[in-house]
Amino acid sequence: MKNGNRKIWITAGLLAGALSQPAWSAGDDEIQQLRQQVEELDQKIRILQRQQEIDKENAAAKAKETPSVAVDNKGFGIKSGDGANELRVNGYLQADSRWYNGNLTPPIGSVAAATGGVDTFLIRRARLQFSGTIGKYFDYWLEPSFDSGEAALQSAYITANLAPEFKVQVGKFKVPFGLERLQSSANNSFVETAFTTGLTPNYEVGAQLLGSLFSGTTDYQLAVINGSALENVNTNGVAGGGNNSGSEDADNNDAKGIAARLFVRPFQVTDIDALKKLGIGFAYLHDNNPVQATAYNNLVLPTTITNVNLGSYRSPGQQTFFAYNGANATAVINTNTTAAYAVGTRDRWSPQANWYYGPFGVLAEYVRSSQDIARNTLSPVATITRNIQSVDNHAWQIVGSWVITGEDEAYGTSYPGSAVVPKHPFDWRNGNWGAFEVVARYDEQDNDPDVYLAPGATTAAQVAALQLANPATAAQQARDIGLGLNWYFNRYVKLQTSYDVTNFSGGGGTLPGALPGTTLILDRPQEKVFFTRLQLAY
Amino acid sequence: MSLKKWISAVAVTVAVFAVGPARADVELLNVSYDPTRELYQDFNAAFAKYWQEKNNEKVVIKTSHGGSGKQARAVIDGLQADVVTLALAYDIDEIADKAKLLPKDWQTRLPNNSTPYTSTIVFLVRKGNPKHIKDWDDVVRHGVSVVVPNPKTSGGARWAYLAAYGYALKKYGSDAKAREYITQLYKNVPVLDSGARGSTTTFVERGIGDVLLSWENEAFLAVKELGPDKFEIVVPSISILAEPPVSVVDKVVDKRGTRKVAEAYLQYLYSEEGQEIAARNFYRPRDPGIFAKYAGQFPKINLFTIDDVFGGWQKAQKTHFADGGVFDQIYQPGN
Repeated sequence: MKNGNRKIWITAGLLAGALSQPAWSAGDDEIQQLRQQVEELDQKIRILQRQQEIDKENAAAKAKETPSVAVDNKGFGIKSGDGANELRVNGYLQADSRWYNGNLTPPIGSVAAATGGVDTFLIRRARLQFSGTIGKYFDYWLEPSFDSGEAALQSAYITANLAPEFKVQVGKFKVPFGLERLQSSANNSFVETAFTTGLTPNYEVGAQLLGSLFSGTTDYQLAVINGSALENVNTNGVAGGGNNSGSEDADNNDAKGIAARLFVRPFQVTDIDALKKLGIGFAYLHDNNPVQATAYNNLVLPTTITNVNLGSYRSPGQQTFFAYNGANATAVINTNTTAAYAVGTRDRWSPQANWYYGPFGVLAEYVRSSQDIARNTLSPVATITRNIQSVDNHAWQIVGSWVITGEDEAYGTSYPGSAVVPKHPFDWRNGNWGAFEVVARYDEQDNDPDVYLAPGATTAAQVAALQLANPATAAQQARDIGLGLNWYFNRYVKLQTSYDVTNFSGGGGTLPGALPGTTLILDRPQEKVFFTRLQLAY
Repeated sequence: MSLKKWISAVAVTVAVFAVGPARADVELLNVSYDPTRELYQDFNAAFAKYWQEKNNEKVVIKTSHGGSGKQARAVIDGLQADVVTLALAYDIDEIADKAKLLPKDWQTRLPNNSTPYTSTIVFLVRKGNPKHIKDWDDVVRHGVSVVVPNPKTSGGARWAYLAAYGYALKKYGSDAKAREYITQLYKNVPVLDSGARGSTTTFVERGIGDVLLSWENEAFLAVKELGPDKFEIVVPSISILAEPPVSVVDKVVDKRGTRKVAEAYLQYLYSEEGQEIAARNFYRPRDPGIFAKYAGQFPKINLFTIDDVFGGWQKAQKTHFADGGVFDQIYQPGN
């Protein structure tokens, strides 16, 4: 290219570049504007997202401060935003009926005590439960009852919930002893409990240490209790007295009882499904009877006592089949009267176990109660003043259950609501009928035959004056077979039916003797009772 | 059961109760404000070591962080703080006034009005300072997005608000003008976090805004953690001397039996080691020697005090931050 041409091309190129510059500038501005718009939009989106985050944080913080009200499967509840304070309201109602079969007409000549009960409808239990937490670590429980129309305070306690392994409980609570007793009565397999529960205490005032160790496999309880319910069971016919189900608040002496219980579920954290819910335990209860051990040791018995401190025992049909002589004596008892009374210490122990696997469950326990019992008399045996016997009464039971609709069986906690939760709650319009459970049990009680001894007596009158229990009215043995069908409409409502047949032996009934003025001692007549219970627990 | 056995049983119970689960010999709760996490993490470890060596006693210090105003309310509502180390004196005054947990003259109990370290408010901008923010006038320009927390809940935000307001007062000479200025400033604020750490998150992690009105220590920390290639600190011509105070909560320490260790804990903030730790965490130490040692990291800045410009915290709070105060009047969410 010649120099002249080159100049022309260069000039033309520069010119073209100069001319095209405005077009390029206009495009760049547009891009800049678009970029700015994108950045502004990006900022707006970021701000909106951040605002959402802040709103969520504020809502979460506010939720922590705002109390919540819940109506759920735990009942009614109010909880503070931080969860440190809570009130729950629960309750349950048991509307029962009992139908005695075959012994409505007493055997000819038998005494009234040996007859069956009265067919009846009754409100067996009507209870409210207020529970919750105050200040994060302190749980409380308050349970007033209106059973059979009588107002009482069943339990009321505060638990310092320091750690799952270590809690301190003070107040009125269930004595840590009987396996069946320790589950809520709303969760019992049968309408009425077995003989073992008749030998175990119910609610007591005291303090206990409790906790769950080793990943929840081991529960322990150690309690110091008044022992008042144990000692007042026969006082003036206190409601529920006589079979240790009483609920006493006040103590009348300095003697205190100690209860200890250990319950282990050794396979709970293993992979052995069939044994995960196998539990084995042992409970011990030592009660120091207020009838002056020193006087007893010196073989000098008091002239008066305030309580006989002895239990009497009921059949599944809630009829007293065994009571010591003078069991219904008044509060202040002159020992020269006919009342038998407890002296020294009372020791009880109970091995116990349960096992649940899928729809199947078994509960078994044994209870033994050892107690020295005395009876004084001056007349008609002037030379014999005292009969003291070491009395060992014991009972055991085994209960099997099967939820035939396949739901899981479980030990009933102390919480209301059923242990069995139907997969398909009752809704007849949609063909759902809830859950059905079949239960069966065998239980028996053997009272010490020494209660009928009358050492040194030579006449019928002397025997009658010295025996701790009257074989004509107090049966020595009782054996119960029970079958039941429970219909769980839903988690809260169930219909229980059960049929118990109880045979008695070793006395408890009489017939007129062949000679005038004499009687023959017979076994207490068989008891057959059909129970129903419609229960609502929420 | 005999009386002797009964007493023995009770004694065993009490002994077991007293031993309880394994725990430290002494435990303290320090309720603090938002950006002090790193400071007290370092300081707590140093004090625990010091206390162990001096008294052969293990001390575990737990800290709680949040917006200073929120933290004060938590203590008033029952949070069992042994010590409070908050962003401003007014919040501790509130604890003294409303919950009566400490005496009204609490601020006289430790040196320097119970403020062992100070700080101020600076600007944190993005690398290169694309919006050319140099001073307080730049943050009210149209198109500048400002990130700052809510002064109703955050102590740092109140300091920032007062720093800006104080600048406007000094420059324009009247409350009316200063009010116009502060109104324009908060029009440029797109979101209000409840605490300083939240605002740092908004600016640094979420990429929102052109400038963060920040505690000096928080700004230094952001640059240190995220690198000078991402952020820059801009020091305005004037700012406020922020004095975060500390105090023992008397009723709590007396109830829990922790007064001795709680007092020692706060006094240790004034020790050489305590002051070093504060300086290392970008708080301005009170000790002149330690401050001189770290003078290079703290920019020179003309500082005014709240007493000089606003007549103290009580008055500033009532005028600006109380319900219905200036802030409530000028701030419209979503603007």
